[in-house]
Amino acid sequence: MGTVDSAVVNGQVLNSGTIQVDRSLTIGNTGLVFDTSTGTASIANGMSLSVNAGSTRLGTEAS
Amino acid sequence: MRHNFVWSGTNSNFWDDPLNWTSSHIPTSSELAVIDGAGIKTIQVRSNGGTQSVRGVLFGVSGGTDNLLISSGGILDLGPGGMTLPKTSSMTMSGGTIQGTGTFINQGYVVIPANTASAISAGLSNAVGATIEIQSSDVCCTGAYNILTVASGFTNSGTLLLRSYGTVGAGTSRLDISSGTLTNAVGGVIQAMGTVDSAVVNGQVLNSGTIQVDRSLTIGNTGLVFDTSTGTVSIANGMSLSVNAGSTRLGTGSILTGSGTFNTSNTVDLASNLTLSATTPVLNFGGASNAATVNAITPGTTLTVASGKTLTLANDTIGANVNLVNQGYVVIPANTASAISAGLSNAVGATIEIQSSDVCCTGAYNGTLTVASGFTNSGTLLLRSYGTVGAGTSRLDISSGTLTNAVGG
Repeated sequence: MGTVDSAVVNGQVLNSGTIQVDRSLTIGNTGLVFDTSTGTASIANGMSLSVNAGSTRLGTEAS
Repeated sequence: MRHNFVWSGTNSNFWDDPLNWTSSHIPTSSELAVIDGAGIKTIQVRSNGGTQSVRGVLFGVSGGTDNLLISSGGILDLGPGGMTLPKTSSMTMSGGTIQGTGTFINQGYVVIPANTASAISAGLSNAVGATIEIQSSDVCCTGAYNILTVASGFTNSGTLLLRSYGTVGAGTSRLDISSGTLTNAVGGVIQAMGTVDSAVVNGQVLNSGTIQVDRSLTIGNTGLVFDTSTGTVSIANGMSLSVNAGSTRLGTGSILTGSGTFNTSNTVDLASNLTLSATTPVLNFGGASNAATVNAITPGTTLTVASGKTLTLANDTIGANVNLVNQGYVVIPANTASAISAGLSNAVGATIEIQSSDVCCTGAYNGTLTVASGFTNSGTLLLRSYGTVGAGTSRLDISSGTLTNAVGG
């Protein structure tokens, strides 16, 4: 969160909770799996969630 | 052949005046100096008389208030009989020395006045109910002398008082322990008090009693261990306890109270699990921003940040044997990089906040937390910008494994 700047998470993430993107967030995911197939990703207007590499897993329970 | 010579004080207050002793004989290194009898007596050991060497000093059982003054340059050399200052008596050391093979046991009140530097190289202990007071004042001194130097470690079971009488902060009360360990025993108190000035203890301290920081206190700890893993540290609001170097040892038995600030040395050693509660003083590993490492001897030792408590990690490393359990609030400030080498958990209701700001940094990382292994977040991981121009990046690196953002996380 915040008004500017960037945010980065480098590593494998399994999201079963909520990722709240109130400022743009990059997932450094090289060779990894970003799995939000059972979780929530909420991205505010004008902001972005970017998975820069690897695999992104989505599914029925994703919202 | 007589071996005891009794103070009469009939001629003056000077130890080196023969007329003040029975048989007009100043006790020698094979004889006991006896100070006894009712009333108030003042006995001065001064430089003029040279070193006063006695087998020991025996304060009698008849009572009375005895004031022993070892003035500038005065030297009292204690033999195997040593000296025990009784509860009813006091001693002022204003530039004097107690030396020798004997032991000085203080049961009374010892004062080191401001602007003086005294030394004890004989054995020393400060008994239950006794006080050693090292004073400072505004009228200070070349070299900032308000010092007691003790050659060897000793045990304090009474009170060691580093006391300021100043109003402008010009002086420093200082206790130097040249070798060995100052053991603050159970029930013992080391207290820094006064409104201004600073207080310093240079030497290794093992605290099993209480360190009461009513004015800021520095532990000069280079190459040493400041061990308060079984003791209490109480720091008043606006005051600080700072361990300037060496290692700071904490553990389950550490009781940390007050709303002041505890600046540890750059190396922190957990002897056992440690919980930081909401009433714990502000704890800065290595000071406010210096790099520090928190280690433990035993793998799996936990450092718990309890609910209601905030721990700031500013360029700090939580070592491989320490699991960080966050139930409260952990902050990684902008322009700092910290690491967690072992386990980490972020509980329901807890927050880890990684900050960024405009005032950035080489490499453009600006609030970085590196976690060696994957962990579970059941609380909040907050990557938070305080900037206005977009110069910084809050960064969380997970070196291996998976960050599991649990249901509710």
